[in-house]
Amino acid sequence: MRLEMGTFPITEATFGPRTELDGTRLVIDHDELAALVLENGFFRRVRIEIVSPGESARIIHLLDAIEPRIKVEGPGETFPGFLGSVETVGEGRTHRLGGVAVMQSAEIPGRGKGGLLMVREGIVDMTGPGAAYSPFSQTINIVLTLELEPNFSDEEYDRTIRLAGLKAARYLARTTVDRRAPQYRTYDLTISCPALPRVVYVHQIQSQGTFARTFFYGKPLDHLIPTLVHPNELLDGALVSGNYAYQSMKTPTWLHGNNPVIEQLYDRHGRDWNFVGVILSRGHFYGISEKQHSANHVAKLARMWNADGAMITWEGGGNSIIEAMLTIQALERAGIKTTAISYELGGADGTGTPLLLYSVPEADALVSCGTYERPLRLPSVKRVVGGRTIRCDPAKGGHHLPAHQSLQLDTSLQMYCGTNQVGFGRRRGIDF
Amino acid sequence: MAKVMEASGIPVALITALTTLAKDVGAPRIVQGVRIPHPCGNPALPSDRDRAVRRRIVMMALKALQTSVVNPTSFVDPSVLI
Repeated sequence: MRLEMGTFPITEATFGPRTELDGTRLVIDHDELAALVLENGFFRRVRIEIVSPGESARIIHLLDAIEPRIKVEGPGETFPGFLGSVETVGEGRTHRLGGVAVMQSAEIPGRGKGGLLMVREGIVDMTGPGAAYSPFSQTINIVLTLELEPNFSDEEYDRTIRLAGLKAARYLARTTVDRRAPQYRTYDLTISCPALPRVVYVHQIQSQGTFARTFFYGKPLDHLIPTLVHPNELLDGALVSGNYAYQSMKTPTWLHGNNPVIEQLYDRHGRDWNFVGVILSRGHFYGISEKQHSANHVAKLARMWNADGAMITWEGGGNSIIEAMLTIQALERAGIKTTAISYELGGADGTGTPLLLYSVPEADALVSCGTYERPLRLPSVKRVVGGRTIRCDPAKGGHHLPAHQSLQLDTSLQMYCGTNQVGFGRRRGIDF
Repeated sequence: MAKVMEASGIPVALITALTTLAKDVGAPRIVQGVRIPHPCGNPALPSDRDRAVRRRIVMMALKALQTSVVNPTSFVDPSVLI
């Protein structure tokens, strides 16, 4: 399975009469894109804005972030199961616009559903101290602010918002179809040095229900029994996020297709190790026996793959660290050396306990991607995209603050991907 | 909280789906609950059977309170597990 990824680095995006690529400048026909977004009929209107790195700008009510991509050769479609059939992807050639993210922003009605599975505020600051918490402060963001028609179900909003974003992303990438990319990278798991240790990546995702879900070929992973997948499938858009539960520790679609762990396992493939594949698993099971069951299955699959080492990341927060830790334990007991990336707790100054909600003695090689427990002060900004007020603490009924003003946040839970565990961050924790 | 209250002389039975976690932090009397979103019952059952499940959990918790323990101890009624 050989995937060739062509990257068209983008340095500027503007609106213009026709959607096209002018060197490294992306020109967007605003009205054509707006018509595409509105065609499903669930939105009253859409506002499309371009937000660039370094601007005094804040993006709010963020949902997914999606990289513009298109399949130009080989089987399947970009974002299979949503924009095309469920044919297996990961082969042939795919084009991407480098440094660009399409984002949906919308205020989804709370409906008093309560509980943990509600949409929480997601913020990207393009400059200032908040930018360090937001990896997407470094991308050119095409933000679709969607005004929802009333009286549809959560499931209808969820699906339509996702389709609007995915379609917009493919539409922008269509500008690359007949062109040769400035950069190509080939992803191929062929083993040339069988003596090297075999390493597997365990990608534990979050999928609990509407607004806290991950899709594989368009199918929700809510009842996932750990399964083997080819990393190229993930690089080629097979995983799509619909997870808005905790914005700081989620993996948006953009990141599923650009997972730094997969990239680095490929970087050193055939030199320091043999990257043998990905085990997809799920956290947040509601009982301890399901958690143990998931961990055991991961370890069994890794053994069947003759893995010597494993790398694990876990999406979301709270109790899903139990699956991650039990998985580390099960892998280590099977003789497979395992390391993981995690955020850490520790309170505002990092000295409190616990540092992790749950841990096992076998978890002796952890990489920290920072903490969300430190209070954060965001300065005022000139421009706000996505709305006027931010919504804090929705689980407690929610209160609104003017979004352009300086904001004192108790934690950085709202900072989009601020502590994502796949390591796409600008922050880290250092033991000293 | 269970630990601190026990330390001040008040026996505490902690009903939780995550017994491993409770053991990890050293809660003395750990009673097996059903699921994280509904530790004290099972809303998937018809209401009379849910009531029976809830009763068994509470009875187990009362038994836990009357048992003398030294280390974290689990009290499990297997019939409440899904």
